[in-house]
Amino acid sequence: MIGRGRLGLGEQLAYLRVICPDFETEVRDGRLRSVGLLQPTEISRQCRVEFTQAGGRSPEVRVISPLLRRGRKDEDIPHMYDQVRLCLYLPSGEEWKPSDPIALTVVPWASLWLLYYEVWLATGDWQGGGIHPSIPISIRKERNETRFKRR
Amino acid sequence: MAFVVTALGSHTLDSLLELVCVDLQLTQTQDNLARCHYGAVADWLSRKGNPLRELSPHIFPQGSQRIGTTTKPVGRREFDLDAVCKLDVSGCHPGELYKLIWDRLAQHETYRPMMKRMPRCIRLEYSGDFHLDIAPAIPDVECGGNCILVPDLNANLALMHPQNNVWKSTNPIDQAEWFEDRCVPVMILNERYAKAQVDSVPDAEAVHAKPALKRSVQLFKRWRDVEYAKRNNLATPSIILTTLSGHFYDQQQLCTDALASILDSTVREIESCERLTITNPAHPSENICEKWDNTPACYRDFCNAVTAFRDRWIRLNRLRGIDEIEEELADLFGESTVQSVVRAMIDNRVSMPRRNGSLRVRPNSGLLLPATASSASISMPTNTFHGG
Repeated sequence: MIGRGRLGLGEQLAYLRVICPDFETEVRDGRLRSVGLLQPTEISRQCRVEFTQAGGRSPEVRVISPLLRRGRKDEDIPHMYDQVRLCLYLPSGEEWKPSDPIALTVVPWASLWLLYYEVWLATGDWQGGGIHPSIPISIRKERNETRFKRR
Repeated sequence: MAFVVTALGSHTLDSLLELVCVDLQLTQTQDNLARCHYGAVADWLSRKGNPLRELSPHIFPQGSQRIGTTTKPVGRREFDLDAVCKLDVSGCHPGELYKLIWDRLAQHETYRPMMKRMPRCIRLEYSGDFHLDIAPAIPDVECGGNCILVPDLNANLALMHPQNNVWKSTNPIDQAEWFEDRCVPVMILNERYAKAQVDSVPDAEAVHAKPALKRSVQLFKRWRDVEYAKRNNLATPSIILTTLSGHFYDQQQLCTDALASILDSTVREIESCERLTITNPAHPSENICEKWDNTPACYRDFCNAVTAFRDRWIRLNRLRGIDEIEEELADLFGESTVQSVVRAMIDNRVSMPRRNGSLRVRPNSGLLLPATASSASISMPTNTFHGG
């Protein structure tokens, strides 16, 4: 979305330090790690979220605390890889590219995810739309805003 | 125990409560139905050529419909509309007045089978879920002004029984006026009630235009309905909740703060006296705590329940996590109401702006904001949640 060349870890770090000054951000041993508190609304929980990126790879996002809870009927949490990392954007490169600052893309999406997660806990519905990988690509766009279907 | 009750609330929680109140309003269909029935009965009682016409009948709504604090019934309970039919007579027996209006209604083929005798009113039970209570009344010459006398009859005795020669003095018009005055500064109040023979039911206010006091009363009443669903005989009447709210409201703008103040002041008042005595603010000699007088268990139950409600309200305002707040609100005001309200709020405040590209966010805190937000925020970039 930003439209420049690939950002190195140092540039990602610089963006994070300017745009998210309250985050703890560092690059060590070829890996970027940034941890910050996100609270999507004033009545939402404040969550400690970790953003990491190893050189050249897609950023990974985890909620450190509080621990995420499964659904009321023990359902999997929607839009997570292995119930560990948040699935925030299409992996095809349409929405996040290596030239995009994490601070301006992945961080806002993580906050949005946290909001829909709390609402999902409350109502059982994932209102944030999205795509389940088992749905063929041809109809993904049409279903962009459909409700998440619990398994 | 003292609590800090000011500025507890957040605008987001207040928006959620506003939507709860929207859901508590009578539906448009119910509201229209109530107005239609009221209009038809008022017309029948005041129509030219009927015996009551000579007695200058004045028909007007009273209670929650008049002041805009109606709440949808919980479960299967009926909703109602309270009205007064005042006749310009004096010196009659209460039973005589009651019979005059009863007989006029009974002349109507439709109303005749719907009529039910109640101690202070004639109830018209409509098929479905609605009833209209019509209180016969005459002017209270002694108290003057808008004071009226209504029959206070023992329904087990004959209407004209000597023991039924009992009037109750009341003043619903000025009581409603007092409540409206408590809602807004006096300077912007208009002359509300024309001197028409038949007063229409005031238009339903949009909830966002409803003062925090009215929304607080709706929530207070709804809490009562949910709390007492299984021991309804001990439920404190709406008039008491409304009057307490009017007394203790302190011009807060947010409903969260208004109700916190009302509940805390009520509890403090309870703790500071042997028993609360509440009179009609517009008619100080009218005791509105008769149910507490007649059923002391009702008062004791109210004291315990309202104290617990006050404590929960304080905790609610400090709770974080939409799921936890939803759970607490559902427990207080009913699950079906609150779940749909959470969905609606998220759709209006987040999903719709996100779809049309106007949602903003502060990356440093993650706070999601509307399009009008300050420059410290950025536009939410487009994304599609994936996987899982």
